Amino acid sequence: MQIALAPFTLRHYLGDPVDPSYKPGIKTVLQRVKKIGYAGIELGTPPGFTHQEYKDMVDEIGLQVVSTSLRYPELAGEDFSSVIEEATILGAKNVMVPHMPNIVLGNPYELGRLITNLNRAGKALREAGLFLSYHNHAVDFAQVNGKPLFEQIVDGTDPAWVLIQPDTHWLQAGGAHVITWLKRLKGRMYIVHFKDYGIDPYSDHAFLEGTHKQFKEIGEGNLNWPGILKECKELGIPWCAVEQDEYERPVYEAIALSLKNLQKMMEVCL
Amino acid sequence: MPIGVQGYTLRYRIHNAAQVEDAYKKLAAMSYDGVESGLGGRVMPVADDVALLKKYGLKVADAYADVSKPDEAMKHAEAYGVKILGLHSIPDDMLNSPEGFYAYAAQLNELAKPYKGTGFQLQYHNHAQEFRNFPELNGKAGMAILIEETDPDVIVFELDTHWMAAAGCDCAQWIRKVKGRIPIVHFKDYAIDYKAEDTGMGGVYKRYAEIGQGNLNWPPIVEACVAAGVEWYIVEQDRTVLDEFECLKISIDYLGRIGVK
Repeated sequence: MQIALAPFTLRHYLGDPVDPSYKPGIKTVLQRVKKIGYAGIELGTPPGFTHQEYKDMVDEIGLQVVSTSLRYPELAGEDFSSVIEEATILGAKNVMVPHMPNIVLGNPYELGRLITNLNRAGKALREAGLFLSYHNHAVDFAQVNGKPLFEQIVDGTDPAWVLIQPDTHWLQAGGAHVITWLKRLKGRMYIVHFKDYGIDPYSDHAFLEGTHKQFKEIGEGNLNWPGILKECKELGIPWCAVEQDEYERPVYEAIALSLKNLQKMMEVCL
Repeated sequence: MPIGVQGYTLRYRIHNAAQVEDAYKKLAAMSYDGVESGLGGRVMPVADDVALLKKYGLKVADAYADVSKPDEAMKHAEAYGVKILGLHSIPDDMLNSPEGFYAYAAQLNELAKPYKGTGFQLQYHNHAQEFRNFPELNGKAGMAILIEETDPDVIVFELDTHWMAAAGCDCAQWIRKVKGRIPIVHFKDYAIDYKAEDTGMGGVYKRYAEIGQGNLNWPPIVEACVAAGVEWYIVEQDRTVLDEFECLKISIDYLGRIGVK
């Protein structure tokens, strides 16, 4: 399994397109990601770049663009040509649907529409040689009619057209058993988001609901990594992407620690 | 294996002797085997509580007493016919460092001494707070320190499924970790609030659910309990939307459906 970085981790470091140092700044960030040892990044063309310009830069650095993403209005639309064009020029196999649209919550009609849209967009992308992957958060595990929304999306979409890009932290936060879900999604994953889940050691709340969960570097929290890694290997999932929404350490130290722990655990348990 | 109820679930329903009896009657009718500790402890003499339990054919899993006074504590447990005494949670001021957890483990070992060889055991019940990850120990959880550093003959762990999930743990994995040291397990489901209105990162609230009505994957948890030598399943639900007894009925019916008995 190859290891990529999810760019949400670095969102505060990607700069402002009006700043004259913006483009070289992004290049420096991606060079550091490469130097730390990541093989890929899930970043589509940043604002201010042409697709070709960005593709040339990542090629020069030696990072593979694994995924791009699309927004809900694009998913709900009819024309996927610009989405296909971007992913194709960048050489990205995967297009991610980053989260459920708010309108779906508590609205079965909209849930049905989301599923229809996923199937339609997924079919168009697959015909262009790409994957469309739906990415979950914790709210996907709210139950409507006795069944989590996530399960309804997984069951409602056609495995031939729609892949799932599960997130270990958000599965756990939803109360779902990570390994059980990986098994259940067999054959439907191109990339998995790896994000650890732990408890804040310095939280001043000691009890019940006040205890704070944290995003952790891989291996620094409580998720069952040996079990997760074994399952991913068994299922032959080609990519994982490390993601950490918030961090206590400087960000480059955090992503370096995640990669180091992950590589070490892969050696030990696989 | 017996299935019981943690009295905390019924805390608003057991204010006097008549209510306690009513609770016992309802639990027995739902075919619960017992309760964790007697529900009547606060409102009637222990002998009366024991007589009521007997009347409804219910058993008790453990008891709570001041464990720093071993003679009295063991006598209290014996009155209920149990060998397990519950411990308090680790104090707040010991939670923020590995040293605090090591010191608390040492305190537990000291507390355990008079019980060694008596057949009595002291039981620690977790919430999410014990699973704090210490960066100086590469993310090791405080709970791992308590498990590793305490006397396995006397100190046992009553793991709680909801709080393990809330701490990021794989429930079955931790249950297997304390094999032989988990006579009682807490079953509590974990669900996401169906009224959630934000799909993003924050604003998503978990809630307590009847067993089988949330998102925990029960069959592997039950399998791990059997492998670890669990002797009692205790159902607990800290907050309910429906009537508490109705919730307990949903829970035990679900356990029956997945073949837990």
